[in-house]
Amino acid sequence: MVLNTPLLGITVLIYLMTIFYLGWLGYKKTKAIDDYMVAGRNIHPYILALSYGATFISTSAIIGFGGAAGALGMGLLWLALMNIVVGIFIAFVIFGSRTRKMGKNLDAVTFPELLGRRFDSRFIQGFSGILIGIFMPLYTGIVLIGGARFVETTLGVDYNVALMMLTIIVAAYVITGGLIAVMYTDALQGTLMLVGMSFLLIFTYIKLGGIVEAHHALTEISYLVPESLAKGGHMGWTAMPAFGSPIWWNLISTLVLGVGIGVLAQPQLVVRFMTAKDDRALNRAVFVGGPFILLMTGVAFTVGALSNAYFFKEKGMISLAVAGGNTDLIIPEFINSAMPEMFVVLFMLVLLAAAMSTLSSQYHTMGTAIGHDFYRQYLKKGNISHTVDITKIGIALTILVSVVLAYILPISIIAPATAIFFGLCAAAFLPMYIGALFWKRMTKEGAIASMLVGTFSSLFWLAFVHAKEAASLGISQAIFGKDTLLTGTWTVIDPIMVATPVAIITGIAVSLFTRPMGREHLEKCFKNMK
Amino acid sequence: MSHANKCHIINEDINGDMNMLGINDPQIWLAYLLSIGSALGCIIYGLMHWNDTDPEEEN
Repeated sequence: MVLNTPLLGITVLIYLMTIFYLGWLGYKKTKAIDDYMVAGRNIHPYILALSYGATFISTSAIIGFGGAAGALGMGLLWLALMNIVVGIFIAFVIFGSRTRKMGKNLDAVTFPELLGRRFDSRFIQGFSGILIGIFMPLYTGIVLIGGARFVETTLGVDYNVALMMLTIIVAAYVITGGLIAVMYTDALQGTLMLVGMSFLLIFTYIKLGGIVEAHHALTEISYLVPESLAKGGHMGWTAMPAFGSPIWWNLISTLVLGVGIGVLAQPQLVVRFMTAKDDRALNRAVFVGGPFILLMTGVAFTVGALSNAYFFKEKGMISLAVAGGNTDLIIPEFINSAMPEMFVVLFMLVLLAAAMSTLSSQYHTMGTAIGHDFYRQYLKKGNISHTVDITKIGIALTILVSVVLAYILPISIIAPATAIFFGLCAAAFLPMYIGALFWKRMTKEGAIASMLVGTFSSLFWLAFVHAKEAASLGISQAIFGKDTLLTGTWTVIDPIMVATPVAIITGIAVSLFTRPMGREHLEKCFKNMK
Repeated sequence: MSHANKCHIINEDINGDMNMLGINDPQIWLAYLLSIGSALGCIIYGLMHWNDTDPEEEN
């Protein structure tokens, strides 16, 4: 997909200049700790919604999951629905409002700090910080590799140079401008993504003769599903896989539940609720956020599946065959062959924006987790000042670690990183986070137990049972001589369906057997909350 | 939308299965329509609560 045209070069240059301007604006507006950490708790609703959405949707959500829809079909639209209902509506309306108020009541500037202060435990803050600090660089590594590979292929730049360029540009505005710079640039990137994906949807339907005609053409070619996929339960691109088949389990458990619910406890997303001034800002963000996500994942999944109808019409082949069996190439192949050149340039920018917006938020979250939560608040017991400086060092350090990891770790370890991080967040943080906001009876001991059980059961399931990651990591193979300890359906069930319920039960049981938290402390936490 | 168009969007195939928007499997067209519906729901919610304030916080 090399597109080394002057047009693309100029467009990227203008884009980068605008990014630098917004980064500089963030730097100028950053005066206090709250500005650097939570954008002064006064961010505009449009910026909040687009920043949340652009962080949520990385390049892999468009390319990776769009490609997965190219192989598996439109069943992935259930994930788009989950992304909107859970990732936007429930997140903003039910979790967002309480998170914002509690964050303000407790003067918390990060997600681990919110949890730590709610349960009056530096250990929770420190452990959450180190968990993010260890596992998020892996997840960042995969986004970084994807972004650099993309720059390499489109601009014809050497991969190592691309990796360095991307890192330095994003690092520059994150370190100097803090969360304001991150969110301003996110909003620009989100707007680009919005325009690009809208065009993609319209062009695709036009190419295939209309909405109904396009879907009908896709339904008609269901007999072309490769035998290996058909055996796994694939019944066509406009049909759900056979109930209970391996593909059905994979789709429902990993994609729909794993990614759909896991999003609620993502530290880089939760912190955005604390940047809202009031509930009004959150409600207005829902207005923008819902359609935004529909135009991201909804469009990516629909277009991914429809690419089969296009390639069949043009080349007599299905997408998987055109992409040589690599689902990650389905969307790029489709864009390249079906879209006008101007659009290809725009889409390149969309992908670069998607990678950069996710990276910048990850850098900021990792830096605050290591610098502020783990080092300053846990190791130094909060007894040192210079929060912003320490956070900046934390960001620089974690960026360095991400780059090194992206270089030295084999792809088999890096590839499952997103699933590992999402799984961990859902098991370690989600039960405790729900308890923190909605259940006053949850105790410090209950929260700690839930966090530890969630963390270790999730890691155990990923390393020894869930086939995709377990086989890739090779730990089970090294210790027990087999890829997974359990067999059959167990090996395709996502950790979120096992580790999260276990962590919830542990949290409830331990809380009921331990002394409730003091009334005065709870009153402070839940001030102005019903 | 004309009657002819409506018939085109919602059809019954030879087996009697309902066909919506060119898709036979209700599990798929339901997901398609619900995704759009939920995004519209977000828009409506946002508009309805555009100026909502929290009285407890205001105090």
